[in-house]
Amino acid sequence: MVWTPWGSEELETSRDIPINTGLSNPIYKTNATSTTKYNLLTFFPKSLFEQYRRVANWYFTIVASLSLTPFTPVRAWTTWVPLGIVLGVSLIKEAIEDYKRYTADVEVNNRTVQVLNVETKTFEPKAWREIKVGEIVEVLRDSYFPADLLFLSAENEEGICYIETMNLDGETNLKIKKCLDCTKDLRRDTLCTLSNAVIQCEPPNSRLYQFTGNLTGLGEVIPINPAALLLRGCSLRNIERAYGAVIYAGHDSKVFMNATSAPSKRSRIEQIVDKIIFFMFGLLFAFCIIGSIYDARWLQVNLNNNWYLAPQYTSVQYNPATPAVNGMTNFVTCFILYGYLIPISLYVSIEVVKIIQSMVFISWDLDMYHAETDTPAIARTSNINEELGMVNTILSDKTGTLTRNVMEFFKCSIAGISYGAGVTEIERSNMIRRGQPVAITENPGLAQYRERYFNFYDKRIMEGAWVNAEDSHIIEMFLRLLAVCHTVIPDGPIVEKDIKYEAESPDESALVVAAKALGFFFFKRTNSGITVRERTATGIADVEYEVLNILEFNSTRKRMSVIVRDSQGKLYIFCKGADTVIYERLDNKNPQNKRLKEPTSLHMEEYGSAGLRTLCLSYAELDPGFYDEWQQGYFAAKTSLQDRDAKVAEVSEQIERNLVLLGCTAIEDKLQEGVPESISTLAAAGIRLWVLTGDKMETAINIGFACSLITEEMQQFIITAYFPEIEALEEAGKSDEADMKANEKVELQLKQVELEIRKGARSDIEFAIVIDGKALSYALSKRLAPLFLRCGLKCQAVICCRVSPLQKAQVTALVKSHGDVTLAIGDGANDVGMIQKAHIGVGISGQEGMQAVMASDFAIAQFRFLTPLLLVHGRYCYKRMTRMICYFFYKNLFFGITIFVFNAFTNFSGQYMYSDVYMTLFNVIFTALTPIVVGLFDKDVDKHMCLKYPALYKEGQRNAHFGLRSITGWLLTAVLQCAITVIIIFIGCVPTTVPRSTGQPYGQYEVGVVMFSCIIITVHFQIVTINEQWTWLHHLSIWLSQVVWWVFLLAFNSITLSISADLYWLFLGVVAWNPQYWLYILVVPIACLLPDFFFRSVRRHLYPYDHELVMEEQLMERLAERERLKKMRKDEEAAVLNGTAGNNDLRPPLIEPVYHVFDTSRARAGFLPAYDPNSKYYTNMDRPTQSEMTKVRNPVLDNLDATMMNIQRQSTLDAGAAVMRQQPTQSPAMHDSSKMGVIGSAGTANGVQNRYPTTSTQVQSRGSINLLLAGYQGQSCGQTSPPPHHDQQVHQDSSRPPQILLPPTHNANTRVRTTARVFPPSSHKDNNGTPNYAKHDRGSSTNPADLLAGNPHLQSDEAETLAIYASALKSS
Amino acid sequence: MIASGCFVLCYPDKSDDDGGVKTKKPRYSRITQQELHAQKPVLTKVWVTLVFLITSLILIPVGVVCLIYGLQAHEIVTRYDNCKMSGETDALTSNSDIQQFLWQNAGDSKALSCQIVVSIDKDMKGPLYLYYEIHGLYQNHRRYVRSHVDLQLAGQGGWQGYVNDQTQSQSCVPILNNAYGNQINPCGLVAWSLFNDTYHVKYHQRNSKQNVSSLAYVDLPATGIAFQSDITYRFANYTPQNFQPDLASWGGGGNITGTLKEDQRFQNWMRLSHMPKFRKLWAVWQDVDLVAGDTLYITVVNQYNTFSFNGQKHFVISTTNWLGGNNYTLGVTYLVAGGTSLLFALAYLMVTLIKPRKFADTSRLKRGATYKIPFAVK
Repeated sequence: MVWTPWGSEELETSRDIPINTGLSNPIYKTNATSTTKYNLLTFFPKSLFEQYRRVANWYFTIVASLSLTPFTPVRAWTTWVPLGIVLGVSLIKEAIEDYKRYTADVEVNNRTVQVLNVETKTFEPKAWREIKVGEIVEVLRDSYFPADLLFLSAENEEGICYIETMNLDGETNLKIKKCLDCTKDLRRDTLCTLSNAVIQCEPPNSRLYQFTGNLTGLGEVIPINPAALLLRGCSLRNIERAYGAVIYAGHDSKVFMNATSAPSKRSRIEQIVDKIIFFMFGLLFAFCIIGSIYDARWLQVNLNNNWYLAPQYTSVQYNPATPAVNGMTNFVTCFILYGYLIPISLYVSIEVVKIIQSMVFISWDLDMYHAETDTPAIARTSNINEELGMVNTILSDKTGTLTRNVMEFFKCSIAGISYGAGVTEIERSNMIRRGQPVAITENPGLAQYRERYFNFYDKRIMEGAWVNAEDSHIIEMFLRLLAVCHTVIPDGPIVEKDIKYEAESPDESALVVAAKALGFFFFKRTNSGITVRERTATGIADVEYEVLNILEFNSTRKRMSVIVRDSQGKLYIFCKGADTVIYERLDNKNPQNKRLKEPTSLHMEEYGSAGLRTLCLSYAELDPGFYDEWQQGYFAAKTSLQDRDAKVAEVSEQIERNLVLLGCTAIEDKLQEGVPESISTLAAAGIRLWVLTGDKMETAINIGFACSLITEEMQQFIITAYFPEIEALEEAGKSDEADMKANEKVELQLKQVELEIRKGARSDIEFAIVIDGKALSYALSKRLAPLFLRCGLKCQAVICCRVSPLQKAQVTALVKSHGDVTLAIGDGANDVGMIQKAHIGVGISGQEGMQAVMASDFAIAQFRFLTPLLLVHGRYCYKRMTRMICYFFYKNLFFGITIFVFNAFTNFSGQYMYSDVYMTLFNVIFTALTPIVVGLFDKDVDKHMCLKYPALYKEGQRNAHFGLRSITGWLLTAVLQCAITVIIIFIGCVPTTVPRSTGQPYGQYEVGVVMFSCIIITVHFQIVTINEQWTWLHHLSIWLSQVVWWVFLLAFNSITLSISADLYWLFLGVVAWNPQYWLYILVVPIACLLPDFFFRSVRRHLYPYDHELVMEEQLMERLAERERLKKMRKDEEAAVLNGTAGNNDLRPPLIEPVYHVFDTSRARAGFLPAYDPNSKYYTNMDRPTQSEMTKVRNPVLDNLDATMMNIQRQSTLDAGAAVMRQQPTQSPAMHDSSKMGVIGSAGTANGVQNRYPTTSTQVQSRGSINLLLAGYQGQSCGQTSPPPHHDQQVHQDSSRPPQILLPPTHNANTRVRTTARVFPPSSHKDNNGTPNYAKHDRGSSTNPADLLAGNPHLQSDEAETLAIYASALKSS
Repeated sequence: MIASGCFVLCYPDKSDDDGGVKTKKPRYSRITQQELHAQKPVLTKVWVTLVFLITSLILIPVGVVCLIYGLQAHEIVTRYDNCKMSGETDALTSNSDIQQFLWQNAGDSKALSCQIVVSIDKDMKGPLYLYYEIHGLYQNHRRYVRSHVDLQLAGQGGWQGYVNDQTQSQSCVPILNNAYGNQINPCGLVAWSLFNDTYHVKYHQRNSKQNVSSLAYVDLPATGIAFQSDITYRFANYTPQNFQPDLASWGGGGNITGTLKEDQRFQNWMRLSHMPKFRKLWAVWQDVDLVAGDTLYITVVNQYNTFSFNGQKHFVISTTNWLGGNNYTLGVTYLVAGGTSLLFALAYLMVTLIKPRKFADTSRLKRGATYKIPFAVK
């Protein structure tokens, strides 16, 4: 029994669950679940408690409470109402969210399921919430498991079922579950006989993939492995019914035990806000103390003299005899009065702005929407948006993040011979890097063999050719291993083409598919065996293998084995795994091993450096006697309740011995789209990238090169702990000595690195460190960590290889400890630690595994979306947030000081010259909207500029807009402007001055209105002068807020006296007819703003911020564009007049790379953002990609293209592989352009000049188009614009000219492809949208479409276009 | 908590009953894609200079006009609290002595009266505005400001302006009831301390040979001096009750003549001043044009006690125009601001000429540029 604050509770040590007796232990939780935070009773106390975790709310409540005392300077309701609003909004939000959770809970709890009734022995429907531990439930196909169940039986002989675990881990592939042998024959009518069985198992825990338990009471003790556990949250597939006994119900189930709320993170900005608030508190207290002391002293000395204050009637607050008491009560008064220094609406505004920033701008950004997987970006937290703009270091996972995790069988080495001739992207980029010619060696015949998971061609072994090869028996065994040694589940028809494989990892699928393609077709898996259709020298035969044991893969074992008995009764163990692990276990005496070891490891190295993932394959024939013996030990280990995993691993070790090497496989893990561009962009933004991968060093380095993380110009350091002497020590068993030695070695290397870096610091060399996991474990030790950090932080890139998930988190924590803002990005469960540790966690969504996403703060579909997330959204959020917060404090300080100054004129008696009503409304209404608009819509430079100049991001890293300097600047501005206002008003508007012809001098409340009007105008005009863009929302908020002030004055002018009090008939009766009022509210704001504007202009001229320079460039672009359009229109008019319009020869032929003319200023930028090529921002002028080239807007042309491509492919295939395509060395496209003139000429009028002369890079990429057309249907080539995106593009660019892919022309050995742009035949009719460039430039009325409408030469229709196509095709 | 709500809020469940394909693709809108049409003003050299120049071009002329009209109005301020009262002996040297004297002669307007002479140094066209000006009286002290009840003055919220409400009666503390326990109406310090000096003006024209003593007092009715809105809305038409100023002991506080609505001097007193040095309109002298050399002889009942706090009392006579009375602050403010703006324009031009900068020079931001900013340090 353990005592907890909630009462004593029995801590479970183990569970004994009698099945189907109704006698389960009542302490086990039932299946009722609740995810709500509150109930009706606890809602108010609990949610209010949540609200009062903010210090500011306490402060405002104290102020409001104090305003009930007689010492208050203001009326109590003017403090309670805003507090009520602020709290009310938060409470309502909480209530709505909780109600949503509640309704979801009710729905889940009321789901029904068939449960076996103990008494009636029949299945009866029961609500989920009533299910108890020990009951037997029946789950139907496609429905969810109500609790964690022990799988008893299914409606099939084998007792297996498939489940989908989408809700649990997000993986979409089906998983196989196998029930206990002793219960697999029980069915609906016989299950009730199972009444004396007892499940003994561990208490509820959160480990999803582990389970320790036994079933007793059925004779022998039967171990239960995780495969027999059906977890809540999964659903049943493929099988009609399954039966299970409830083990863990409700909140005890593993899915609930796993539900952890994401750790709440606070951004750095918010921490600074706290500091400013504390500063404001300090100021407040200073004001209060000054005021109280002065007031007490004044009353003590002067009160008796001032008879008009009736000193003879003393009260608590006014007693000259007790200055201390006077002071204290005055302190209370001042505390309330100066409360306006702390902006009450700050938190509410921040929350509103952040939610919109994240839930709308980030989550709904089309540039971060991934069409292929239909995944938008998701902002899971809204607390840390602005931190996205301050990232110093990105810690990235590799597999699945930088690479696609789409595994393709690429090469293999069998019996010492390497097969497969593909060139990986990494090799290609390596070649380009070294300046070698990149030969295109893909065999065109390859395409027909290509399929998902398989990108391999080698005629030596394909189509059964291996039978005649040397060592064919090894090849046979190799292929057999591929077909047998795995945990893949086949699905679908037993036809080679249509069968689908469900695998735990894509590598496994790739291997099985490879086996299939090479003649070993695995198509059936039963509980006890698998069947393979083997095409061997002896013919085709379905061979069945009895699977005796599967020794599973895990990250420590780094291998998996299968023990099978073949049809002849021979026992084999097939083992595949990492090279080091397999090599350790090879039979050293075996001649085959001796022969193969060296060439195979050479090949593996080669593959590794090409960025391929290698697996070593081996097998051994087993002696039946030995096996039986081992089997017993294995069973014992399997059934042990303690340390089962360790014991199983130990036993497995005994049989995975004396293996015979077969060869190795190489699987390509392709880079994600846009990764190199993203990384170089992020690097240019000054962000360091640390890649933490479990891969081998060579692979990691090569991936690093491929994705331009490491470049040739960088100085690279490799730190490792693998040294012969250390290994020798280890082998000798002197692990301590080895440890010490390794430690020394690592330290030595690190010190050397530091020295080198220091030497190179003066030059512009960048550095990169590659460190392996073993060395990292030493580098992370307490002693070396600071040194390692010092080195790492000076490097542009750090790659840690062979790291464990724990090390990932440790590295993150280390970098974080330096004070850097860290961002961790990953896709898998092994990244969760890192994601939660980092300041910002980003999960890759839309792929397998949701665990990373569930732990993350932001989820994006692709690594490349990190660029817009940081450089665009992060930057915007940072700038907006900081400006908004600074502005908040600025205006409140400004306002607060005026209260203080006036109070000084009243001997600090606590009097104000304003009305308490509008003092309160200052924050809540008059200046509430503007900061929110600033926080949402301020935008200095356009999105594309953020990407063109990644260096802009450094402003955020330096915290240039929210550092001590800028905050002080803002506060000093407030003080200065306040001083100017106060001086002018308190000199000009004194009660000895008469401001009107009717003779009455200024009075107190009148001056209050003058002053307040000046403040309102000044704080808004401050925004006017610093605004970087003006949208209608800006106009609305800024002007409206000011108008509201006068509307308020008018309203309170006439509202009943008991509410308006001093304001009653103040405005229309007194202020409005005072000409000086209107003159002052003009000159005071101007006087306030002049110095600030001057200093800012001079600063801008002398020391411009980066973004200011870019804004200037944007301006130049806009002006140039306007000029160009104007000129173009003039030319057109002239041409029409001269009758030369449409004369092709007079126009420059328009052959140009196609880009999206969404925004011409953007298009002119000429940069390569790491962006979705489907995005409108992908204005990739330098290197047009295939996906871009094939993007055709017009659906008719779309079809045409498809047809044409088919024809083209056919013709190329016919031509055969004999035509080797070379890279065009010059630009024949230019020559060809004249031929295309008929089509191309029209393009001149499209408003896009041929600004980008065809360069060799273009030609090169055009060369790759050849491949596409030639039928090399690479995966990336196949990606055309996805339909949903297409809609949007049409929507935006309805009149944008499409482009047509023209067929290639044969030109001796060189084939040249050109692209040309034609004006879309239908576009001149389709005038509902003007072209965007015209739209963008609103100053000019140029509309090319209008101009073109009068040009007869351009009025071709679709038929004509078709004819052009046809002729073009013929000519090819 | 936001996180959990996100999936619910942002994306409807993908499964769709009527078979249509729903995507999670966000819909395009200018707002969500942050592509709202916008003007992007860039403060170029020309713009900055223009802004300064135009500002000064607007401010300076306005300033000149304000200064001209501000100085056109003429005012003559005469201090009189230290004038010798008719009952006064030479022994009264300190303010406390004078205060004693006030108490002793409370109500005796003859003993407390004195005469001040105002020579007109400049032509003053009527209407003329006569003010009393007090220095050192804190009408803005919180104890004082709070001590009145608007509703009572306006005759709302109770029978004939009596304060029935508990909270409102708190406002009148410490002057709520008189010595007999009857509620004072209007209550509170402000009304209680009503200014009670009186002025009788004799107008002696420059060329007139008439003896001053034989001149008649100018008729200066206390009308047209308060804000019309105050008369209409803020003060009720009832006579004060129990409102006997305690002249005997403190020498302060005048009486209200007629109803609250009728006593415009009272209304002006009730319109609080925000500084300890203030003036309030006492009378308007219509239909008179004073000429330089004219003299005003004013008999003052110098009974309002500013002596206890060493205050001063002044009598002010002033003309006004559309911009109000004599006042140069507004004009100077405009001129200074305009001049500063002009200076800033010149200074800015100087800076740009001395240290020119290439416009839109983004070379330092180009990729690979050696412009490096050190990483944020802890």
